[in-house]
Amino acid sequence: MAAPLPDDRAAPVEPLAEQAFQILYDANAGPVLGYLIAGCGRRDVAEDLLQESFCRLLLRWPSLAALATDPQALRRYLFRIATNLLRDRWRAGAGEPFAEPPEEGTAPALHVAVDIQAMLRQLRPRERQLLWLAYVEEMDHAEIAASTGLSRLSVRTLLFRARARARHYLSREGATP
Amino acid sequence: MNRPADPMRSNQSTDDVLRQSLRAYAASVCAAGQSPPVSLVWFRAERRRRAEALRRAQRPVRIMQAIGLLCAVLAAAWGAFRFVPTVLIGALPARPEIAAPLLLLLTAGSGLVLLGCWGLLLASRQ
Repeated sequence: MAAPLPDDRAAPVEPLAEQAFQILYDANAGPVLGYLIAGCGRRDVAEDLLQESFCRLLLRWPSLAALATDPQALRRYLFRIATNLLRDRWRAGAGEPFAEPPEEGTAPALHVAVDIQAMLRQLRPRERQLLWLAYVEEMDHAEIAASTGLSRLSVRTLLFRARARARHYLSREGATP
Repeated sequence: MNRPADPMRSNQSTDDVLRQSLRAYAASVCAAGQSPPVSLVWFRAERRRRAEALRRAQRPVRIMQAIGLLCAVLAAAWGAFRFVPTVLIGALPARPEIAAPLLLLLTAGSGLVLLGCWGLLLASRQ
């Protein structure tokens, strides 16, 4: 079962207008899509999950009074939905992440010394999520906990292990100074 | 004389490499293609919202349909129990539990409830 989302039983708010939704989408779609691609390894699946994440946000919007005025809380809520969707997908027995080759012309051209996709493939799904939120989204432990549904203590421990595994990979590949 | 490498500094450097690599990957992922258009997401959410509203609206109609169906089945069963032996055998006295007009009324009422619920369901689907 997916982790429960934050309490959304507060007083109802006005429905989200299409223009306001567009602003919200433009601000958050890119980061959430990157997170989903890092999580599942496939752009087509990630785009579908991105649409589903925003759909769920829209459908729950009338009861999201506490988040409506706080863009950062809204962002964390979106990451939380995305995390739950990824988890549901893995539990449903979806294929191995990054197992399929990227489509023609969509493989990112990297100018770094590390094969980051190979590194992500080596990590467990939760480790990929935590590293992404910590390094790309620059979230602290409390924010990661809110975005993933884990406790702060678990985030700290799991992030430590994820870093250790990533470091191990980087040192094995000779990417460390 | 070579001093041993400081593990804290080494970890910091590795973290920097990791951070740079992940950010470069994130940037390249964003540059590789556009997110799905916002109108598509909006349309998908609207469609689902309508489907959800329809399902909610249909719930009482379905309950009424079930009650109507149950009434009709009970009336039919009672009618069969009441009249079929009389017609076949022709000798059994009429049973006094439910009078024939009342039975007719029950059957007609059940039929009307069924028809009404069915009509409502069809109208709500349009």
